[in-house]
Amino acid sequence: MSLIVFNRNRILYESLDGGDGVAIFMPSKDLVRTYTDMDNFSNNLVAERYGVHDQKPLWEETDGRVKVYGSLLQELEERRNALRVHLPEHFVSADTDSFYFIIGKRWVVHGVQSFNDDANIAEWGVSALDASQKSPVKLVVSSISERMLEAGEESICVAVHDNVGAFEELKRELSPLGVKVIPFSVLKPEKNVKPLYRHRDFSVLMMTFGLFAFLVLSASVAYWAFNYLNLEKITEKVESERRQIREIQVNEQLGSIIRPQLMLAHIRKPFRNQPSAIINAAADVATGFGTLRKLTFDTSSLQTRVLRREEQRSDDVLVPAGTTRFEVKFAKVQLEIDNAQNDLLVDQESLAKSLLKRAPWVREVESYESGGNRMLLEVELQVGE
Amino acid sequence: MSRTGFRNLWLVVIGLMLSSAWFVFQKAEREYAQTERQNARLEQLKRERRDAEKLSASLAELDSLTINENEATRLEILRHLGLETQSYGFDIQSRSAKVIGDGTLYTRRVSLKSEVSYAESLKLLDTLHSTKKFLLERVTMRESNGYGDQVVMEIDGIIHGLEKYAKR
Repeated sequence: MSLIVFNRNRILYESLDGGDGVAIFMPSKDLVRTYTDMDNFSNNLVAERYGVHDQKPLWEETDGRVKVYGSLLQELEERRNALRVHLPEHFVSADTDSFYFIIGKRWVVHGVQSFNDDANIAEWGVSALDASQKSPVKLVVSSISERMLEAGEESICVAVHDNVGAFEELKRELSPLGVKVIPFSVLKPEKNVKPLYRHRDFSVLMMTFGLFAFLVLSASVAYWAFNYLNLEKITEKVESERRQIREIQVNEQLGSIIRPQLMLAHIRKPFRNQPSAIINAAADVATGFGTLRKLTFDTSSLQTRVLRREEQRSDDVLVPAGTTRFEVKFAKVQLEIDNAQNDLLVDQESLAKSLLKRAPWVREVESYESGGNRMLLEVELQVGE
Repeated sequence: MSRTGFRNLWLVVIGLMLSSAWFVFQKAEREYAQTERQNARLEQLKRERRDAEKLSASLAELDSLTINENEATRLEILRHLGLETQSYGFDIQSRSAKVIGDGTLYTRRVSLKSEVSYAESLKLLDTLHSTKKFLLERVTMRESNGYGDQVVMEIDGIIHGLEKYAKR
């Protein structure tokens, strides 16, 4: 913690230890003003009343009484580190009659409390003594000796800051007088004592806001970059689609036809089976009965029927058999046969049965006209599922 | 740096960063909106491309399945069926026309007569059938007076035609 001692004109002493600072203001009696008629207390109002518009007034308020001690030095106001400004008497307890603070090698801050009968209050008279010409220890010791001789017993506070030699010497010199010497660092203003002025160090807060702003900026840039790249990608895809559309070759010969699907729907699709397979299978049936003279296959005889197939499971007889429905295509072929080898109908039937067994794709053989050794057959073939 | 200077510097820096962030965010929002528009455009173009591809494929299929009615000579029909170098009997019978949508579909009933071996007959039948240009209606096969396993095959079927523009 830094300690600063200053008066209305300049900084008298400063120990730069870094971090937050405590400043002791040495007021001049001729600049102290007391106002008892102020209702509102704020820095601006007090500054305006005191007549320092561009400076921070150093003031305190007690029981509706505003006491202004002076103004803060611009140099201290501009310090970035936290700063609290106190009066010297803030560091001693209320029952202390006088104090001596040796600050560094040169300065002695001395204060004496007296009772103002007019105002009916205790007042402190403080001064900063420059001991550069004389040893500060001798100055303090002689002053305390004189006071003890004059006033007898009184409560005296002696503290030393930043002067180890003086501290040890004072302890030695004052021990016969029964006055304790303490380091100044142990003196703290009482909790109910407000500083005349304080400002905080906003560096961390500013940097936090700066970091936040940086994060917001980074997020925005990332969002923009993502959208930019996405847009580039999409634009490229759009161009690619346009290129592909331009490259599609549309048949110009059929330019007048706008809906070719409609036209294609009216063009009958050829059946999927090879006609040679149907004809050859039918011819194979014919050879069993005699000499094939003529074969007629009418594509209008092609028909689709829905059949049911019984499912059987050989591994588990307890499970009932299921049924599967499936579509089967059939074709009918007319055959004209000469030199029929079997005249008897029963023989023809037995031949047809053996054919059906040998060629399971032959589903039906029907003889519907015959005379002599000439035979007309209609064969139904299963041509696909 | 003084307290005021430090504060002012940071306020300027923070202000600049926040205003830049706002500017960049606005720009990103505009690009996002543009991306959405481009996405919609892309979807539309994809639909257009699919339609164009479908149209092109359908027109190509229609072109391959039909003859040009404006120059439907016997030779052109045989060329369409891939039979221009063969000496089969080929008869063109009735012709009908039907208006479908924005065009007229012509249907010709034709018959083909061949007298070749049984195997060649079946091969010819399959070839015609697989072209899909000749729709089989009736096939008659009977014995031939010729030698070997020659058979007489008569195929009745239909072919379709459209009025096409001349090829460029």
